[in-house]
Amino acid sequence: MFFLVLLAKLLKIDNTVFMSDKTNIENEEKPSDNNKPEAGTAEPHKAEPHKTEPWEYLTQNLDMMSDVIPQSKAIGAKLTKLSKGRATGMLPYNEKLLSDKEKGIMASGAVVTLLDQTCGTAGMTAFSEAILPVTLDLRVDYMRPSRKGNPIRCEAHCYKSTKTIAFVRANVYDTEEGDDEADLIATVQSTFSYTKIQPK
Amino acid sequence: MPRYLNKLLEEMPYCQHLGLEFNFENEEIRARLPYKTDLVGNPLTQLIHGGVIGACLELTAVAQLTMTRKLERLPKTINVTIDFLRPGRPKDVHFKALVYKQGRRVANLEAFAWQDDESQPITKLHGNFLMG
Repeated sequence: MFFLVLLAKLLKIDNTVFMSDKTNIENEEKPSDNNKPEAGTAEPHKAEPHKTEPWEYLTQNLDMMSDVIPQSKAIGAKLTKLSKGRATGMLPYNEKLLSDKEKGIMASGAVVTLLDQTCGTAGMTAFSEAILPVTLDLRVDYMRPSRKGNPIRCEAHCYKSTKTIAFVRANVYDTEEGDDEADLIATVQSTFSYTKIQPK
Repeated sequence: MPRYLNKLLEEMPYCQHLGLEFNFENEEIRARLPYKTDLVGNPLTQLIHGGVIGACLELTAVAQLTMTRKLERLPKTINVTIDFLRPGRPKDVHFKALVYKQGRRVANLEAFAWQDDESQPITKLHGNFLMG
């Protein structure tokens, strides 16, 4: 069960956007069949006004995610980047989260929490409605333990989504930037199911 | 609970952070995660974060394998697959793990998490662990 979030406020905003779109469509004049455009002269493509998707509100306040979810606040997991289908999450080095004090290895369990969250967020952005991601399954392959003092960074990519399911892949590095294979500590394959948030 | 295993787990800061408690019963480890608000992953419904349940399942599997094989060091995780079957309600979660196959270096385990009814697991983990 993943987490989230979207505040009821966002929902309301989205609904009003959605409603106004609908009324626009209804008011639009339907082109009559008699005035069919001649072959070759295609109708000029009307640029649709950009509709702000619910997740886009999150990009303006990435910290909101970690503030709202108690567990991510407790371990210090943050969302650092967000775009359509992609999300980056960061877990700073924390002595409380180690599995091996001497070697300074971050516990794989703490990493799983970060992964679950980041992958779910990436999947969420693939949808245009306010949805609540629910983890169906999460597979993690660990390449090597993380290095002492390094943060954990998860780059998640939702490469395919259907009406109800999102498929998300992620690479996990123990550096702040870059995609060097030498820094790769784990890979993730996950699926998320989505339920619409029902406004009360 | 064998003392050496207790010591290994006590040395793990993350285990302390979660507050996971281990009990020992006929060669089987039963872990219990007491509910606290820190563990919540969904503020709207107060459900427990999936990552936390996954983490506890993995720790239970590691502890079970350490005990079964009487290992001196905790095994390393090669991979885990976590299936989320039911939502984690805001109350205590229980865990157990089964060793399916143990080779010389790699062991295959399955772990379950449940809340009220052991026959109704909320999450299932399947993983390979490297020993030694």
